[in-house]
Amino acid sequence: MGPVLHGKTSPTFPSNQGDFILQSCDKVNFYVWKLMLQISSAVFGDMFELAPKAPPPDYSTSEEASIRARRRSRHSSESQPILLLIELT
Amino acid sequence: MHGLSPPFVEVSEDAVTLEALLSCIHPNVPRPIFNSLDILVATLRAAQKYAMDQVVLTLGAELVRSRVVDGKVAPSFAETDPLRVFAIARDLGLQAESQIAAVATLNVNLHSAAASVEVDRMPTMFYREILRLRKERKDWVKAHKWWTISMHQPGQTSHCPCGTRHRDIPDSVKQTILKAPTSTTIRNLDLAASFPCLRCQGAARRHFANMAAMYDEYFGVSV
Repeated sequence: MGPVLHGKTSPTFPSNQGDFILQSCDKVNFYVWKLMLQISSAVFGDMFELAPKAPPPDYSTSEEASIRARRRSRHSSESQPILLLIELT
Repeated sequence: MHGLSPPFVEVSEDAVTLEALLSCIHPNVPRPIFNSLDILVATLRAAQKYAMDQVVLTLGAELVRSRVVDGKVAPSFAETDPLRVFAIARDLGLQAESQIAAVATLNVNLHSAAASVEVDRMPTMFYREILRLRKERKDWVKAHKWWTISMHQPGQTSHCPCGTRHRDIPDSVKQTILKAPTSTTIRNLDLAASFPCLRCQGAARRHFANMAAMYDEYFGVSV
C-alpha cells in the first residue's frame, strides 16, 4: 500500500469531483480531473503519459481489474468513440 | 477505505496558491481574484513551473490590470509596485506587461523602491533597460525647447510686463520633472510657487500643457 492520504479537503475542489488529488504543502487535498491537468499543463501531461498504465499488482487478480484491463485493450485497438453533436443554426 | 481514494501527489505549493492555480484551469470554478501581489506572483510561478502556458498569459495580464476592490477602482500592481512587476514580467517573457511596468517605473524612485526577491535577483540586463528608458525620457524633457519658456503672449506684440522675454524653467520644477519624467508629472506641476507673475504663470501653463501633449504623442500615453 502506498502513502496514506491525510489532511482536509478543499471545499472548492471536493472529493466527489475528480479522479486525482493534489495535496498542498499545508496538507489540503484538491480533487481534480486528470484530463484537466493533462490539457493545461505540459508537466502533468508528461507525468500521466509516463505513469504505468497497468493496474497495481495487488489488484491484478481481482475480477474488476481484469474487466477493466480487457476494456482498455479493446478501446486502444478500436478507434476513439465518436459523439455526434447536433447544432441548430 | 483509503484504498478507494484516487492517486495523489504532494506538491510544494500552499493551499492558497494551489486553489488559485486550479481555479484558472477548472471549467466550472470562478477565476481567482487577486488582491495581493504576493499571491498572484506565487500562482504565476506555479503556473510557470507546471508549464501551464495559457495560465501564465492570463495571470500575467492581471499584473497590469486595474482592479475593483470594495466597489472602488484600485490601481494595477504595475502602478503600485512597478519595479517588482517589471522584474517578474520580464523574467516570464511577458512583453506587453513588462513594457507597461517599465513605463510605470518612471514614477518611482529606483533607489528607494520597495525591496523584493524579484527585484534583488533581477538580472543587470533588465535593470539597464529601465535605466535606458529613463534616460531616453529625461533626454527628451531636457531638450532645449522644453527647458526654456517663451513669455510671448499670443495675440500681443509685447512680452510679459514683468520684463522677461524668455525664462528658464526653475531648478525646483526641473527636479520634479526629472525625478518622474512622465506626462502626468508635467501636467500636475505646481506652477503658482515658481511663477508668481500671473501672466508668466499663464505662459508656463500653456508651455507645460503643450509639452505634456507632445510627450504623449512622442512616447504614447504614459501610466
